[in-house]
Order: sequence, then structure tokens, then C-alpha cells
Amino acid sequence: MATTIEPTSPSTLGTRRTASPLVWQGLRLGVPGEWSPVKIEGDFDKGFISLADLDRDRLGVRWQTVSAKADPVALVSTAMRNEVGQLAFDESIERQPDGDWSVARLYVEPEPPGRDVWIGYSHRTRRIVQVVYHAQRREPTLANAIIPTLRDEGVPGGLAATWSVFWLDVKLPQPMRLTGQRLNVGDLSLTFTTDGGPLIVRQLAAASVVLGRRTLESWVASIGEPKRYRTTDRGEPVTVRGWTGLRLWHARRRRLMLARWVPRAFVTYAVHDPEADRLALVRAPSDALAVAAITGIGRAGET
Amino acid sequence: MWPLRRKKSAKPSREQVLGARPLRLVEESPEPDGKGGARLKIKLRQAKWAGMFVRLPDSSTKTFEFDEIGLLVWNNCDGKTTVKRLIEAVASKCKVSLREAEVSTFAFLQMLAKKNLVGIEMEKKD
Repeated sequence: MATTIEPTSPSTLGTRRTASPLVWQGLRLGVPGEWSPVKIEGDFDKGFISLADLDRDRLGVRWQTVSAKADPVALVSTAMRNEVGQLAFDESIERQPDGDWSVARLYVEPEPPGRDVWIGYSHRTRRIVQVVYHAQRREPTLANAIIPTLRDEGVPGGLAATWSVFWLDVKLPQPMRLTGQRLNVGDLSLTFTTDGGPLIVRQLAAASVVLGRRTLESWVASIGEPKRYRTTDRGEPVTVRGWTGLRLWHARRRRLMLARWVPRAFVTYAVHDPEADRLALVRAPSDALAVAAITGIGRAGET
Repeated sequence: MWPLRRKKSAKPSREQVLGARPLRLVEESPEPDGKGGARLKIKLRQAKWAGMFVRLPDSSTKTFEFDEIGLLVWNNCDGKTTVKRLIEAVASKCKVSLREAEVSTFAFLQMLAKKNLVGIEMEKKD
């Protein structure tokens, strides 16, 4: 029996855009499509992202949660002084973009090549965010193109609802904590924690190559069952947002019947978006959550 | 002190690597497999010293299987297309980011070079 969940929607599974948002741990940043993350470290409280294009490093973003008692003005000034030195600090100016930035400073290197630095404090999540742009010539990229797009969409407690990295972007039904990521070439996966259990959102590029050699059913079977679960059915055809695919139910293994913290059932959705040539796989402890996650795929651009 | 020791060649810069032009080293052309990919059949050549122990039949061949993307890279290893251009072509074909395409294209070219299927021509530093 086939199930249709929502009428066909024109959206695709994260096609490339010229100016794509990078949304990670609640920080949203608009960067050119040619820039990709080359290093992602840390978590919501403290972390670092480095972006580069084919030729060189372009941008670095660092964030850290600070104590509620700390003075944001002093923190931003100290961070800027440590980053660029006292002389350059004197040349830096106050520059607050829209949003939750209560204090912010910008330093623009007068004689590139050098580094343009912006440091701001978000009172929303109590984080100091530092953005460093590697300027090769005099261009106002950081001040005029990047900083105006910077937003803090995080929720105190380490939660965020929107995530976008490489070509995987998803708007979750509610803010969640990221507990794991696997960002392999052409195979991106994010794992979140929910009250009922983990939510896994995975996307694969070049779906035509995968499905050229095997069916969707055999591909899903090759991934294997979630740990502690056994598959209870052979898969039911579904259509979500016009993407055709498969839904599988998994039941908790009998030997874990006393492990109440392990959700009783788990659902897997695997759908194919032929337009974007992508496969999406969502695993969630409830059907509603899985459908909501699939519905949110490719919608990180919507604020 | 060691006059016969071979000098280590300088590591090529990133710019040089991206500007390099891979070239196919075999004359055989791949045959389509009907699934978008192709099979490349190469005649095996025996090393002289190996012939002393085992003799390979003249008809012995080795087959390499390319998928759609591998075939795209192989067809563009013409000695004129740069690695950077190849990466852009793979990124556009697979709709992935340039960085991702770079990683997979480099890995694939390295594998082809290791199997002596392509050579990579690099411009010398001035």
C-alpha cells in the first residue's frame, strides 16, 4: 500500500546555490557557494569552522559561551586586542549587525594581504563569535557581505532548529542538540537527540549512480538496521513532497524489553529526489518526527 | 656526503596541482556497459624478469570498470583539461560542493596514476 504524505512541492533536496547559508550550532552565515567548510570542530558552547575555496583559506569562525556575569564590552575588547594587537585594536570600530548582537567590533586590515576581524557578543546565547576573513586585496567582503548575514539562531542549552552544511540543509520541527556528524564526500549525516531517541538525517549525492546498480530497497537493506532494533516489515512505498521512497518500521529487540530508555519502535524513511539527484534517509523514533524532518530538508534558507 | 642519493623533489604547490593536466597513458578506449558507465580492457604486459618464471598468454587482459562519474573524469584526461576544470565538472555533475568534488577527484586520479593509466603533467616552477 502506497502512502502519500504531502502534495508535490517544487523544492529539491538541497541544490547548490550561488550564496548558500552556512548554519551550524545556531550560527547562520551567508557565504559564496564556492566556499566550503574544511574543518569543523567543537560543539554549541565552543567551536570553530574554517572555510576555503579551491585556491585558499577564506574565512574562519570561532565561538565560545561565556559566563553570565562577564562584561560583554570587556570581553569583546579583550578578544579583539588578543587577535589583532593593541595598535590595530585602536583602529577597530564598533560594528553591530542586525539581530542579537549587543556588542561588536570590526577591524579592517588597511594594507592587505591580511586579516579582517569581526568579534561580537550575542546576548541570545551568551556567546562570543569571532569571524576572520583572509583579505588578499582591499575589498569590503567581511563588512558588507558577510557580517550583515550573520545571525545567532541558537537556543540556550545548545539547541538549534536549522542546520546547513555543504549541500545538506534541514529545518527541524523544533530546536535539537546535535550529537554527531559524519560529513564524508557525497554522504552527509547529522544525528540529533530528541526526547524519544535519536533523529538521523542523512543525504547522499549522485543518487543516479547508486540507484543505477541497485534498487532503493536493496540500498536501504545494505545500510543495516539501527543498533538494538530489528526490521519488522519489508518496506512500504511512500511519497513525501513528491519524492518517492520507502518506509520501514523497526522494533526494539526482545532482549531489551526491560530497557525502557530505548524507544520501542523506530522508523526509517528513504526517499529519492530525482531533480537534485539525491537520496535522503531519515530515522526517527516516531513517524510524525520523521515526516517533519523530511519536510524540513532543503528549507534552511527560510528564516 | 652521499653523491648518489637521489634528491627529494620539491612538493608541488597547490596552484601547480590544480593546474596540472592529466593524460591517459593507454590507447585502449572504454566500452559502454549500458548502465552509464564503461569497461576499459587493457592488454597486460609482462615484465622481462617475470617471464623467466611465468609466461602470460598473449591474450591476457585486465578490466577496469568506471561508473558515470569515473568515465567523465577518464574522458577528460586528455592532457589539455586541468585538474581544477575536472573538479568543477565533477561538482557540477554530482551537484556537490567544490571541496567535496576535489577530494574525490584527487583520490580517483591518484588511483589511476598508481595503476599507470594516467600520467599527470605539471608545469614547472619558474
